[in-house]
Amino acid sequence: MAVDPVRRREALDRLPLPYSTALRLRDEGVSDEVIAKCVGVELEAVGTMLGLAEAKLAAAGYLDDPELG
Amino acid sequence: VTGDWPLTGRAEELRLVAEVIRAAGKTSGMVVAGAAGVGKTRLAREALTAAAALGVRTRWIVASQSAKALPLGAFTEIASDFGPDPLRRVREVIAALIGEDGDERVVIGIDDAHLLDDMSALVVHQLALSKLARVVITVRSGEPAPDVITSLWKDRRFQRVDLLPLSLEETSVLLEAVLGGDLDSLSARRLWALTHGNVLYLRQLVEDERSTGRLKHHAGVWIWDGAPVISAGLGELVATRMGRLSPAVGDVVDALALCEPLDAAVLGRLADGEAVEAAETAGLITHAVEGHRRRLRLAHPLFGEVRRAGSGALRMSRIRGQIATELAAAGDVDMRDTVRRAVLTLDSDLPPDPALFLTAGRGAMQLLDLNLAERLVDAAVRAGAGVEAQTLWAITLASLGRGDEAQRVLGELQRSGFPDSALATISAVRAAIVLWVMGRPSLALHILDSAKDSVRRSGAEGPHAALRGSLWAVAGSPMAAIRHVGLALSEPLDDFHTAIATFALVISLGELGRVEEMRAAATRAVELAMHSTEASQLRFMVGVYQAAASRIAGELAELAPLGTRLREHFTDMPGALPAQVATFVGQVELASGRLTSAARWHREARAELAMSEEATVLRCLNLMWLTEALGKLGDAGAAREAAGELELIRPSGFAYLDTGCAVATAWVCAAEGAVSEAIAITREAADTAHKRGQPANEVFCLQTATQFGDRSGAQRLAELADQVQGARAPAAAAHAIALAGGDGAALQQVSRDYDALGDRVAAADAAAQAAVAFAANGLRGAALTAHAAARRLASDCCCADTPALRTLSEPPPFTGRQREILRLATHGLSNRQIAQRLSVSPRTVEGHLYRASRRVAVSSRDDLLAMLEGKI
Repeated sequence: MAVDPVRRREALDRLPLPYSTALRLRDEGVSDEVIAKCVGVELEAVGTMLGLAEAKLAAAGYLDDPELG
Repeated sequence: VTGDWPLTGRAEELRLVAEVIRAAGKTSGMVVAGAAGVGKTRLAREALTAAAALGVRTRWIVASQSAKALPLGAFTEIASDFGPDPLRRVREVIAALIGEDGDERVVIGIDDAHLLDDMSALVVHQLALSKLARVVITVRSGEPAPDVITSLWKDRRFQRVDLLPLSLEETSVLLEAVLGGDLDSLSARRLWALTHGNVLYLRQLVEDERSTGRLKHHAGVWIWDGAPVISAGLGELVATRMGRLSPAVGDVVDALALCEPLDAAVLGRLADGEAVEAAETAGLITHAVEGHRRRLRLAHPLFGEVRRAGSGALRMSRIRGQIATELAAAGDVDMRDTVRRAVLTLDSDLPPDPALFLTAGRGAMQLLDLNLAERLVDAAVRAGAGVEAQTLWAITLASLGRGDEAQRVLGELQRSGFPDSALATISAVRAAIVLWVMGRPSLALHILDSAKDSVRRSGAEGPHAALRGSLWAVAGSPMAAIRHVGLALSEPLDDFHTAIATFALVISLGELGRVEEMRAAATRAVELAMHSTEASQLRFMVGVYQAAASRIAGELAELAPLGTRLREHFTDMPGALPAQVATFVGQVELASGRLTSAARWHREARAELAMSEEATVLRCLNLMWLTEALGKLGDAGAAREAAGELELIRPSGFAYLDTGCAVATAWVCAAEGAVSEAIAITREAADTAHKRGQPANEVFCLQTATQFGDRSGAQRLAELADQVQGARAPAAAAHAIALAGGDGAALQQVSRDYDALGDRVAAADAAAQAAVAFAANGLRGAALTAHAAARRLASDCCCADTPALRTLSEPPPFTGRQREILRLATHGLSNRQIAQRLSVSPRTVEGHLYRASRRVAVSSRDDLLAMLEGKI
């Protein structure tokens, strides 16, 4: 599936703030330690949080079938 | 508290926990962490319930503070009969948990695992190491937990998920599910702000406020006024979270409960330094560095609510006085500081300070906190601040929709023997309120005429000229309005009357189709409103009139940035003018054809406005656009009801509303199926606009008639396209010509033009008409393409249901007149009622129904209607 940056950005805007922040920071190459501090979770929870954020992003429409969009 | 609330915003988390439970991978469990009340237990329990439904055996263990004192306290039920050897007891507890046959398909939930005693924690650790069972534990973030428990996620044996509080959007979804209906967006924002998305607090608060009727269902929308009364239940929940406070820490929390944020230096002078540190360690307060200031806040807004509710008024009043005094000594950095200091002084044991109250009142107006502004300015008036404060007070009242009260205040002032120059201004402000808030042009004119002599003697003619321009504008005489407004603006004029004059200018230039001048005037007015005290609250109304004019002109692209800009103000200053904001946003949504959203915003505004019945003009605009949105959605019943409410309150002599009201009524008729009546109404409104010299309005009416299928507007629209600016007129002219000629390809092009300018409902209608024209010309393939385009556009509009679109779904053998009669019949009208509605004889109606029946080979009216409703 092709990555559509505009669509991804719009879907990010619809996510609850901590999840979109975590993804944006990860996309910028920020370390897990800094992400943990910024979004207020334990370091060990960052990986799970990013996974959840991607799942929420999909649910918010980013990964919708482009045929339907 | 009744029933289970739905689990909202946690679908992904639940799926993740369920996967961990199901998978036999590297980890054998999951840690669900989060603050108290965030929903950890609920999530874990749901996951276990889902596992149980798949036939997995589950155990649920709850750790607690009281059981912590006992070794294996969490497992008392299982461990009570075992022997003295501790490790043996641990093994036996594990055996009891997983069953004798060591079945791996066991899931154990441990709630509040941070409260486990060491031995119980060892049990959990062993279960994790041995992978004898899947384990889901919940822990409270930030609380100390036994080392063997923290090692579960530190050593990556368990995956850890941190549950975060619900976002505003998730909170709204949850509350609408619980309440079973739309929740006003300001109320949702207030509930979220107060609870920080904590479900436990939210649930208690909502149940309390609902049972006492403060959260109420009003005009189809749930509304909460944002002033919680802390019930015993909620107080207890929050107090448990806060823990026992020493008197010194209580002082720290109380100071912040009355004023936050506070600078650390100021709080340090009000409370004991060690107590401030203790409060932070206990998670009661937080600090953040803002610029060069270290600011302290309560960790949760409900801490403040609970402390205030539980403290004596005298004590609170004294503390407010102390804080106000310290803040005054520290000096105000910006207007927000002044406002906070004034509010504290107002409710303290300090003597009243009229100058401070007035300055802060102005500041609150600029910050769009009108309720606070009204309180402060009222206090200034009571403390003897004079005529300027009294005029400002009236403007504030009017902005809050309390028009009659405001004009009475000014009426009193007019009789109080002020100099002529003051009387000229007071009478103009009063007339502005009477006209623009209450919608009573004749009273406004009377007020102006009564003060004529004062104007003449003082020479202060600007404010009155602004109002006379406004009177011409609302009377539908754009040229006269522009002349008077020109006079008013030709000399220095105060901000309030400049903004009032600009309303008239924006409306009149818009009606004339002079779009560029209109846009420039509106931009100037919005800029003015941003920086002025008296005019700050008018920015949304300027936005409303500009949006209306841009829509009529078909210049919809400029609505999006305008909408974004004004919405940003609303986000920055939540609580400001909710009805004006909702009307404005609803209008933008309607213009772009986002009909469901438009109807929702307008319903919200209607509910807000129903509580301030004196804001007649805004109520009319709101109901007018709500009616149109509902009509375009094909919701005939709701549209007729809104139109009925509009007729009840619509002021006489306020011609500005005529075009919008006519178009709205036409859409009601269209939704009911009375298409010829809808066409007649829009054509009559076009004639009226023509006579008044409002060419842009005329275009709008004729285009609407064309959407309904009227083929007679082509010539006039072509003439108008040369007279007015904006993208609508040429598109409408091309539409009318294409429809009159039955030209499918041209209609298809018109549909694309409308889509490009952003009027999606018109685009859908033109596409539907194109499909019909292609079919009539035997071009089946082209008809199918146009049909699909119409459907897509209608679905983009969130379910537009218009006469043109209905021709695509209704059986084709009927003629236009037969379809009209059938739709009225399906709405339950008798033949006689249909005849009255369409101004024909009942026999004509019978004849149409008879011929329609024959076309589809049914034998009676009832069978015909049953067939149309899909029953046979």
